[in-house]
Amino acid sequence: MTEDKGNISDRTMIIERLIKAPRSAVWRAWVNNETLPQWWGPEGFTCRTKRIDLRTGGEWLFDMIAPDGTIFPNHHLYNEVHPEERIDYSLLWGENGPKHADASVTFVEEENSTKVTLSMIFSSVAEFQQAKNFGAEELGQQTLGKLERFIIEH
Amino acid sequence: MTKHEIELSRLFHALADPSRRSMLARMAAAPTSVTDLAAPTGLKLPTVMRHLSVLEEAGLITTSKEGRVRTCSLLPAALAPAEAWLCEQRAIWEATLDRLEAFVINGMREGEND
Repeated sequence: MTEDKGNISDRTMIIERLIKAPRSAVWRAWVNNETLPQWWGPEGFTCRTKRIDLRTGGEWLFDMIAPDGTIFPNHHLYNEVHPEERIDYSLLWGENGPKHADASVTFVEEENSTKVTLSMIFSSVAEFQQAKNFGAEELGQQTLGKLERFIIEH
Repeated sequence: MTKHEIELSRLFHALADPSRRSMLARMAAAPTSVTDLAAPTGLKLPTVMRHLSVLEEAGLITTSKEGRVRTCSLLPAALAPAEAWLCEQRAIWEATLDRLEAFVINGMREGEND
């Protein structure tokens, strides 16, 4: 682990995926009112869309339904949409509800494939992360140091 | 927001303050009396008590009183829900990307067959 220099991007959960498809195909699957609800969420979940407008300043208001029928109301705000490159969006708990996370996804074309990078800052963790950015390293090898590494590395 | 999420916010809020973290660091070494915790901070006792109650409400410490001395101990297990929650979040988003990948690949195969 490299010790952080206060860069917020080091403090988020980052998930990368290489998809063997052209960038345009990946982008079309995501930024498309018809297809996004078809694959969003873990396997077995379905989405019931109420409003959808996947442009800068737009939104997606929907219920995510778990395999056991549990309904999770979701509201995503599409803050920035740069075609085929990047989306910045916020995840809210229900319509105009409390924020769960700020997220961004980038699409980078590589040879015969597209690298999709999802990064998220969870609201419940943000305050802790921000405080750590002001050099509060006094915990050293203690338990909290372990948690901090966990957040950064995972 | 789930109850679990609210508990996590309380936990991370408790951890976000440097005075509270330095108190936790001392308790991690050994259970410590309130007086000993207060001494190096330069904080007044009521302020220290407020910090300790935030830590206690977050489930990070427990206190016990013997005679006139109140001793505070760290409960390291309190961090487990935070770790478990982060693991769970990661699994959800990995699974979502699994489905995106499958959707795109299947879509291309169907396109080829047309």
